[in-house]
Amino acid sequence: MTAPAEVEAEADATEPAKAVPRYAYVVFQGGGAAGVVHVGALRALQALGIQPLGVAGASAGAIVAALVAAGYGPDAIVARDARCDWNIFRRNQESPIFLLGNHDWLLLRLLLPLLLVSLAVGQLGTLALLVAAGSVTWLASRIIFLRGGMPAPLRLLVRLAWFPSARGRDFLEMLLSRALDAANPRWRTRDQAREAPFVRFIDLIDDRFLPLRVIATDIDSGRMQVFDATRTPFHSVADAVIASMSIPLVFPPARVREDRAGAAPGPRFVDGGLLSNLPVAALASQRRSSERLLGLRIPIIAFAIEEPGSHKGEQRLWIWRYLPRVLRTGIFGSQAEALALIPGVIVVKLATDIELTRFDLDRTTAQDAIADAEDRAKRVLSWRLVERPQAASAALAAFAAEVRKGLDPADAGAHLRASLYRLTDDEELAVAESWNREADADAVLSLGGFSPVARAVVAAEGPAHVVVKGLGPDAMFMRADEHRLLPDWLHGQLGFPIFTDSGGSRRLAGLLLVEADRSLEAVLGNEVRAAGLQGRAQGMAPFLADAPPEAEAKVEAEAESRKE
Amino acid sequence: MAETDKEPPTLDAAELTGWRLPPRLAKGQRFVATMAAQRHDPEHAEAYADLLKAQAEQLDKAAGTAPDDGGS
Repeated sequence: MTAPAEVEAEADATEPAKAVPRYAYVVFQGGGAAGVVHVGALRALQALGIQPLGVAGASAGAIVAALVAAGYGPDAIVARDARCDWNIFRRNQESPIFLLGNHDWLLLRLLLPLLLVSLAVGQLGTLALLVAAGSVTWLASRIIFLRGGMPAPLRLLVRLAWFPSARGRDFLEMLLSRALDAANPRWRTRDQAREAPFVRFIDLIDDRFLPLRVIATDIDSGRMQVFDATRTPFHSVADAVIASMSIPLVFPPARVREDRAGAAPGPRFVDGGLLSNLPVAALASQRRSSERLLGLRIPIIAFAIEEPGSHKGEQRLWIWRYLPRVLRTGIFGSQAEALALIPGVIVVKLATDIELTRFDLDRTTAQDAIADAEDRAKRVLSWRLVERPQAASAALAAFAAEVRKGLDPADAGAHLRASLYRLTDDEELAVAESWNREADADAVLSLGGFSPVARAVVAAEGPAHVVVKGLGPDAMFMRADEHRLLPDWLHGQLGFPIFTDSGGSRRLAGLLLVEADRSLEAVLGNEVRAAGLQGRAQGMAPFLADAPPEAEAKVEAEAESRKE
Repeated sequence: MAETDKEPPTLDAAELTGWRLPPRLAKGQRFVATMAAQRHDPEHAEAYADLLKAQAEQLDKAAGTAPDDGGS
């Protein structure tokens, strides 16, 4: 943190509204067939005029990210109207089921319920029925579809996968090369030392495309691999995306071809979601350099997929509920830690009932889910990028003006910063909004270490409304080493706790922090003023929410109705 | 359905995002990616060196232009 170069103008509550940020980095979470809701997310970005500067994804999120990077818009992936070729597969005379293999799909759909029943009942007779049904179904599917190839159960043993992935890879390669052809038919030789045999990551480095990052899991070393134009410039994009979505035992472990003389066969990869299903960290460094280059603050928008409602042990955990829940937890549950460490991330949770393996999705279900996702994404992004910053900034400016009134006349020119912090699940205070010195605001205040005000707020019991913190080596709550960590300009802090009522008990929800280059202790000399300031701080509780209050209420109501 | 010899439909401009990178960012990323290509493909290092030289000149020109707008 540094002192400001110039005296800040006194801001007031009527500060002009900020424009919607034009730029963002965008991450798409994996989720199998449920990934179709990302089409709604893309529509929301277009409607709000938000332009991605780079995209990343794992698994199904990688497919969406690759298509978007190559220029495909939401309406190219799923049409808005009710025409026959309503999705990108049908427009290209394909279907997800054909790419998987019709007979293997049919076999899976028929065998899965039997498998679950056999596991639940545990009877040998059911297992025998399973084997018999599998044999008959496989034979029937071969007759019906007249296709050869390895039967899925054998493939599972030999290739470790129920479905092959080669057809899907070829289809994606066709889509990507067609987009590059449309932009520049000479892309294979443009600015390259040699002709490109397939679409490589370096081929997407062009102002008409978006930089792409794809996450896959290296199953040989057990590490996460990020594919992009700097780490893997000559690797095949389609191969990397297929590797990223290779759910173990569903699709085979995949190698990613590299267009380079003498390149050794690389390791085998499986689903990127195994290690990072919402790969926000993959964009953090790119975001930092773009912020420096463009002189802007650029958020990372992470579109996550979740089931509507929550499970709180209200249902008995039968095997058919337990297994999908284990799968879902493995795929979706490993992101909270990484997200908490990266500031400036807006997580948009898109709820959907669509099962991960519902690849034979019908048009109406898909379009309904996309419309819901678009509505949700618009509400959250509009709240986080426009409404909340404007309203909170005005309220914080008014609060700072009120604090200034309590200063001694000699300190009337003090520089102030007011910041609103929200208490996270990790017991840290993360900045929600701030006014003035915005770029300098601490992203996170740790309650356990540096940040005496935050600790004092938590230590306060009962209705201790206002916590005053004088700064200096001899100040209460502050050690000498902590004092050295303070920014040079900071000489006074005031903290105001914000509580919420939950089930009749009061709970700390956040903190309003005012910082200044002068001492602020005189501000709270008047009890009436102190109580007034605490009341104003408490009024900012709605600004701690990630979504507008009515949107949250709608989501909760829908979850309740589903439970009923 | 789904054999490889079928004719793919043409791309409809209305179905493309139309998103474009800001020129300064696009030029900078191209430069960094070409450096990475040179690092990963030493056999063609000279060809990439020529590309880098041309791109560096482009970047120098871009540095003199007005900054990209947008953002908060």
